[in-house]
Amino acid sequence: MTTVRVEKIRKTYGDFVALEGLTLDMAEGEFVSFLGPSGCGKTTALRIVAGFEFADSGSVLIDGDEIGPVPPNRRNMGMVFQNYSLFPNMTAADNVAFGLRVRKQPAEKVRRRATEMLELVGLSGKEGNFPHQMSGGQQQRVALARALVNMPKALLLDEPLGALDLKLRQVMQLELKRIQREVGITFIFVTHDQEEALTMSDRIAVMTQGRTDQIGTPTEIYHRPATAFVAGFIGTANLLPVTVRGQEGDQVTVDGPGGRYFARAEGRTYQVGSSVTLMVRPERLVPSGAPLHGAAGGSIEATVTSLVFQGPVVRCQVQTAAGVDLVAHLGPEDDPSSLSVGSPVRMTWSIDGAYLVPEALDSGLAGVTQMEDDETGA
Amino acid sequence: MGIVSDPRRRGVPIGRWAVVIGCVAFFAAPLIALALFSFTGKAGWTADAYTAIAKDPQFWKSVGLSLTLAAATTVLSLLLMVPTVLWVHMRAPQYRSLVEAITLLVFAVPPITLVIGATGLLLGLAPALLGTPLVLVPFYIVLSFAFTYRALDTGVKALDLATLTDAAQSLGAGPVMTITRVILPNLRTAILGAAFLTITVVLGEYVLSSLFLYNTLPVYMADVGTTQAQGAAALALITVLFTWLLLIGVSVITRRLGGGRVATTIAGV
Repeated sequence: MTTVRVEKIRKTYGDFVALEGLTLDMAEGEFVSFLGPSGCGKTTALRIVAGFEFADSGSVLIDGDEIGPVPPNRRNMGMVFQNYSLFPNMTAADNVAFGLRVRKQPAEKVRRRATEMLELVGLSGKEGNFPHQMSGGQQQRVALARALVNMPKALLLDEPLGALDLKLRQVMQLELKRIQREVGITFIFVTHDQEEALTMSDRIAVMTQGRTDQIGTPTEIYHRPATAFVAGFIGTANLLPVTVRGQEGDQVTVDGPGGRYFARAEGRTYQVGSSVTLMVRPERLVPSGAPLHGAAGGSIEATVTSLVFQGPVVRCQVQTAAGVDLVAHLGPEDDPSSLSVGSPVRMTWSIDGAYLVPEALDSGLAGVTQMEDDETGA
Repeated sequence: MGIVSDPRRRGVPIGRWAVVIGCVAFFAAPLIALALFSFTGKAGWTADAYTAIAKDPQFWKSVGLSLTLAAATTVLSLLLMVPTVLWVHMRAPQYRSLVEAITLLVFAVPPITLVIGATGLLLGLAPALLGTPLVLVPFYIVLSFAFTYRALDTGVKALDLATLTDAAQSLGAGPVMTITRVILPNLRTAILGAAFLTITVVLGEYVLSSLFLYNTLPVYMADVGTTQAQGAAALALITVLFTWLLLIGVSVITRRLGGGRVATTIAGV
């Protein structure tokens, strides 16, 4: 059993606080992603686990043992970098064998293991190729084999797919997941791409400004975001600032810009009069008349501002009377053909299609928030 | 000059060829003249100048001295500059511009000042050194600073040193192994380039060796020039050809090693 734990890690660069009390447990064989925008501290966190940086305070524990003062070459942590970082003077096989040769393994074992590892990453027959003779995807596979050859306690991946094009990235996502299942090593994966994190992770730590906003499974993070930032950063979300009017058992009544809405308390107790955020995912927002799947949660008057056919869904953007933009992803059963740009529409959602984020919303953030770049994979 | 061809310039680009031919002539003409002159005798063509040089024991002594000095300077300056460049890049990037300025400092000091100042210093520090031609080595090292530094700096910049080091360390390599197994092999081309430049600096240096009264190849050449013009021309030609051979040799070795092109390293100077 190898477990990795980071505890109350704090790291500053001059006045800049890169990490502020990061605490996270990673179990054996778990695929954990550090997800966040650039500058959120995710790479710093990874480099502290690898031993390339040292925390100002806090600890890194492997199987319960503090490894803070252990230099990186004695930690046995595999590392994969965004720019592959293969040794240019060595062939694919020699790159993979490097870790074994450093450990003075017998030549026969070195050769056998290097061949095995290249086979694992699907590069049999490329043993003699130099890095400059291989494509980006192939180089990253070699880097992966090289980092796994010593069976590290954990594999640390720093945006490893960032330099690859979209198609290749999707292939490599599945490959990474397969390889991780085969070797059973803990993977700690740093990315700013929410789709990548959702696809591969067992758990995601969503980070912003040196803190983790939420740590949870992709489903939890998507459906039950802890903060408005998480709601907006993961997928597309329609956020409305609302005020709690009352709570009756599991049902919370709130007042929002377009009327009175209902949502589930999800085990929490809400103070009457407190400001919170109501989130409705675009796939849960439908024009009135479309099937609702459950009790009504609320509705809002708006005008259709754009309709874009995207294949499986029609992306329908509407604007409320208060000038808030909302987005709905309409399937065939939502009858999008009845809508036209400029026409008034009443958008509605079910009580289970809404979620209360227990945090007040900055007025500027009302409406649809999304990371368009990441969604399109740009 | 764009990629799109200018319709007015269709056909033979006479202007461009004129420039090329002009440049080639500018560089080649003196060399050809030099060669022709070195083979001229009182009665037509002769290789007398060359045989005379070959027979002169003083020539072989000066060649030996210059090559010894070149070898010593190259080895010592690499031993000094490779760690310096690596240190500046990996540990002390804030000193980069300072080190760069230091390497250029020698060009701001007139040679005679350098010699008088350094002689005074050496008299106090290592008087024994002043009696041997090896006294030139520290001066040559300083003279070649700018070239060695830039050649190595260009080579290091082309590598992603930080990530390569991280990668090697994460695979279990300590600092020594990281340098010997990963960094130095990838700097072969740059090191060869630096060595080549140092050798050419030493083989061509005249002022310091003549001030110190040592008979290096350039000093010998100048001496010969005062008495026999053809001999000096022959020597100059030999030196040029020797330098070319050296450059070709370095390129061949580099290519054999599978590294980049030495030209890029030298062009970075």
